[in-house]
Amino acid sequence: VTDARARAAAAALAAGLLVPGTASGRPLAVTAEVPASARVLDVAVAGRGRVVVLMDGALALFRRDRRQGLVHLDERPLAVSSAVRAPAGLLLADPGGDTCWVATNQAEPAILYSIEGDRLWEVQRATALHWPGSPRGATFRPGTNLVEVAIAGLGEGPFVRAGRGDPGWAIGNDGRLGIAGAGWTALRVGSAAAGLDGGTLVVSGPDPPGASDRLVLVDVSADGSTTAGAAVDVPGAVTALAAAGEAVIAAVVREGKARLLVLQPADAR
Amino acid sequence: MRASAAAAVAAAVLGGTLARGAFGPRYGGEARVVVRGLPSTFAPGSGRGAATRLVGTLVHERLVEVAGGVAHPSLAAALEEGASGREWTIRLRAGALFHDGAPVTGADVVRSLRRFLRSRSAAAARLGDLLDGGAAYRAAGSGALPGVLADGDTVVLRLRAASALAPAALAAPEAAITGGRGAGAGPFVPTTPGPINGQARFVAFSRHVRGRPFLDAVAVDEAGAAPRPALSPSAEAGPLAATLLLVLEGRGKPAARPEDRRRLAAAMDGTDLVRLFIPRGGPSSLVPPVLLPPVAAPPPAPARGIAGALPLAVSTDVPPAVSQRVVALLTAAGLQVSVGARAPDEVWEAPAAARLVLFTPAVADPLLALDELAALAPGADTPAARALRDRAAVEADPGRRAVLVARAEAELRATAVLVPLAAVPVGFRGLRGMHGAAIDAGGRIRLEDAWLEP
Repeated sequence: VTDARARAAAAALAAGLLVPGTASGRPLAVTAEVPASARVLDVAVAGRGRVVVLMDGALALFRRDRRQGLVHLDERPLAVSSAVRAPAGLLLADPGGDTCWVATNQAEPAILYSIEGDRLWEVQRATALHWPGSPRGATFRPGTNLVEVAIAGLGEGPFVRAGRGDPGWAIGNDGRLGIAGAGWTALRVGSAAAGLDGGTLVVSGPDPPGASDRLVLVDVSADGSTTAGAAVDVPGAVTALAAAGEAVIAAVVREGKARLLVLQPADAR
Repeated sequence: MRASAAAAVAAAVLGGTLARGAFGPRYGGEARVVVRGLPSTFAPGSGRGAATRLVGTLVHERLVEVAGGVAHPSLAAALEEGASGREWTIRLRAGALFHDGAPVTGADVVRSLRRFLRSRSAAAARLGDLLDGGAAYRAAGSGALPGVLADGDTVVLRLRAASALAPAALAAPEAAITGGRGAGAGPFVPTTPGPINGQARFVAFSRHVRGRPFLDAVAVDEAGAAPRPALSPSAEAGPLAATLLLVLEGRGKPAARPEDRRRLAAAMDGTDLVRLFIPRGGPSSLVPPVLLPPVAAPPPAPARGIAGALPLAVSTDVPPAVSQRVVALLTAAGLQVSVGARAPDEVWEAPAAARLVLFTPAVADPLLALDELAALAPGADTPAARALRDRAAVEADPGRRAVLVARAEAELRATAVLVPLAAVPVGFRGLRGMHGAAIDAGGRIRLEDAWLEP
């Protein structure tokens, strides 16, 4: 990772000098917005246009829809067995599959859900989320929103958030972005990120939660160096991100209410 | 309590940047809080000063908290009224633990409330009056306390008469629930039983009833008179949770005669005091505006010819400019004022004819605040004021209760023993980078939701 490039990217990010758009240069814009019943902790895209949304106390299933953006299909309550000040959760779904692992910092087991048609069904429980390359899987440090998981080149955490994929990534408790196999960059980001196609990450802004947020595309080269690219402002503080092809699903909190935004390149609408 | 207790938060701060982002809240880090005096122990309710209140919110947990005039469950999971208001059932939160790992049980609550009821707290006195057998227990005439019963994780309070006030009394600092070995249940665990060489350290309690606090630790250091006090008009804006009071106890001339006290009270120009020396301050009744609407002060009437010596005890949390102005006004009335500085814990006991204090009620309830003032300054109390407070304590209708409380306040004020000068915002100062720290309605700094930017 080239620190100088990362520092330059961080400076650009802080200064807000970046031009909205995707990595391919097409501008991203919010094309749909739907309410969520509670603060969204994580979002994942599964097969057949399904989107799984992990909320504080519930797991919901949505379907992507050209007109409405997202259509609510199902919602299952999740057990809460321990008090935390900052609820957090992890969703692991295969973009082409019909299952989804769920873990939160409010209950002990990780739960595997099956997506059958328009419904979610619990099918299995485990003490930790399975995470390739991490012998102990992924767990939350007790009482916190910090994830403990082994990621090559980044250690075992704790991380504010971590993501599998190509490349894998993690956000450190100091707000820095780390790239699996490459190490920590000097780029400060927010607490949400997701991997887009083509080795690009989308990350939220590094400042404390405010009335609005900024999504930034970060290109990750083959050697793990990063370059912050296009940026787009979003209304609300981003709590989770997921990538669906070239589209981005952003969960935000705005005026105390949870919302799901769909952002797409202009010519994809 | 050693030395003075006005706190100054040097490394903690008000958050609220207008940032674009969403990083946080973040776990980790340590906040350093600088105070002017630490309590000698961390036992519940061991003083009146800001540092004592800070330590209380770090270490201890009460069954309820009072905000906006309503008692909200804290260590309790729920409060249920029964028997037409003569019975309150308190269910404890499942899984609540003390710092030593022991579960919080109904037996712990009963033991803690028995300790509370024999304390000097005005809220304890009020609850004792209301509880079945409470007055006899408080008078130590009886070990029996039929008004407090425990059954597993449930505690029942039985009252002599229906009262909506009983739960609020449980919010007093002295009513903190402690374990059999004295452990607290608050968000931070003290690493020593008391301060050592003016320092104390508190680490996050990972199994706190509302979740582990974000900070790993809070270090509280005593720093003499170096920092400005936190309870200061110059601090960051906070709620108007304190009242600046001139207390004319009536011991010896010239404060003995009611007419002299009223003339002195009329000469105190609170409006000018606020305008010149208390930014964001305002008029006040005897209790802070967060509890009762302020009383409009009439135009000052200069008092002259009230000759005599007036020993004045000034609490060290009163800003010097404010106390100097008050002394100037008293001097202009013809008094020879001799000033002695006292810690907030000591000022009410100091042998003086008058006191200048910042009053922050132990419980953010107007009636309990008036009870507290009447106990602190017994010369202000009258049978009529006491009767009004007693009626308010058992009045079920909130509107009628508010009227009775307002009349009780006016009755207390009429003796001119307690002279409200101004409402003072309670705030604190700190560095950028900390978020979530707050001042509650009781004027206490709360750090359990505080977090630090990387």
